[in-house]
Amino acid sequence: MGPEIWVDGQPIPALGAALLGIVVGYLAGMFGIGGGFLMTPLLVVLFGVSLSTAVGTGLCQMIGTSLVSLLRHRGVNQGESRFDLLMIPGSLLGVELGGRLLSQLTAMGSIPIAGGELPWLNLVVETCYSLMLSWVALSYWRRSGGAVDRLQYLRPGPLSRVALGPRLDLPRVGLRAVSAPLIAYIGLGLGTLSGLLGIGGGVALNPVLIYGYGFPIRQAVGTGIVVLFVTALVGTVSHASRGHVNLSLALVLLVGGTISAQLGALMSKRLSGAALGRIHALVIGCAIVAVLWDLVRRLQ
Amino acid sequence: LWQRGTLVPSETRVSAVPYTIACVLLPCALGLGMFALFELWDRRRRAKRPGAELPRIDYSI
Repeated sequence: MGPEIWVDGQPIPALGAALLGIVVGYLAGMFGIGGGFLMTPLLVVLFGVSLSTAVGTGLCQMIGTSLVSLLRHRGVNQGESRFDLLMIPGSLLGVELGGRLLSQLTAMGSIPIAGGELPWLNLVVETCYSLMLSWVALSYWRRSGGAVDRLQYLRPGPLSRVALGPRLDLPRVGLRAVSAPLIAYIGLGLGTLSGLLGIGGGVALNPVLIYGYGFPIRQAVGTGIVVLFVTALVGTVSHASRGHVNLSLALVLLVGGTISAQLGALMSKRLSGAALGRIHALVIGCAIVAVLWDLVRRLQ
Repeated sequence: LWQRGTLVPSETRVSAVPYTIACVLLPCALGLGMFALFELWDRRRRAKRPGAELPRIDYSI
């Protein structure tokens, strides 16, 4: 059977975990994403890891992936650093809030539904996952038509016109008098999602930046990486102190994922943007099915 | 820290503070190590094929 990793008192095969890291890393590299939104539900569905451990472990391995990303982006000079800095305080607050919410949901026990019992934690977190992933899959499917690719700059979006002071300019993306408190609140929301769902938050941040503010796509992708690293650090500390991080699992996932991400990135060069978008939407669709299947399985 | 293939305080009776520090430092060290490996690989790759750029991976999403 090979070496095993003990998670929540249950052994899981180390090779299986490494394989999961490789597959998620490959897809992440192919689509230019982190893969946190795939990792957490798949750990739960495939290996029966508890949601709280999956979230904490996902954040822990994200420290490594986001550090690699930070180092890679250092010389490229993409992204709006003012936006990053304004999001950090809210994001730190949010990730702690998400962690506390997770502990609270765990303590709440189960709710009787349809003749069975479903833990509050799974009900809330997996429903959040399903809704968020459905929205993302839909936006990727639409984007694969090329409508956004044809536009280098979208018009200033509705969020850039919110008149909540104090305001500041974002020169790198050509936006003037943008509401600073709104950016801090966005950081708070993303941090809460990270602490609760174990994801980087970019899956929700990029649509906000592109459609809400009108960021060019390249600048949108470059924005948020500093926040991601800081959020992963603080989130890991928060979850590790509650015993929600399995370090050996995180390291196995991290090694497999970072190696295969490079291969996935090479593969992405051979596929068209439209094909990548559609495959991405299908992968997210599979993740939604896995999450819903887990909910139904728990009811039975 | 490593007992029976796991690193969780409740299962190994490791104190939470050093465990939490390890949870931050080890992924950082591994990430730095992987980054150094990629750079080495990329440098060799470009030396063989000048102009070939390594695709950039964004971990923000």
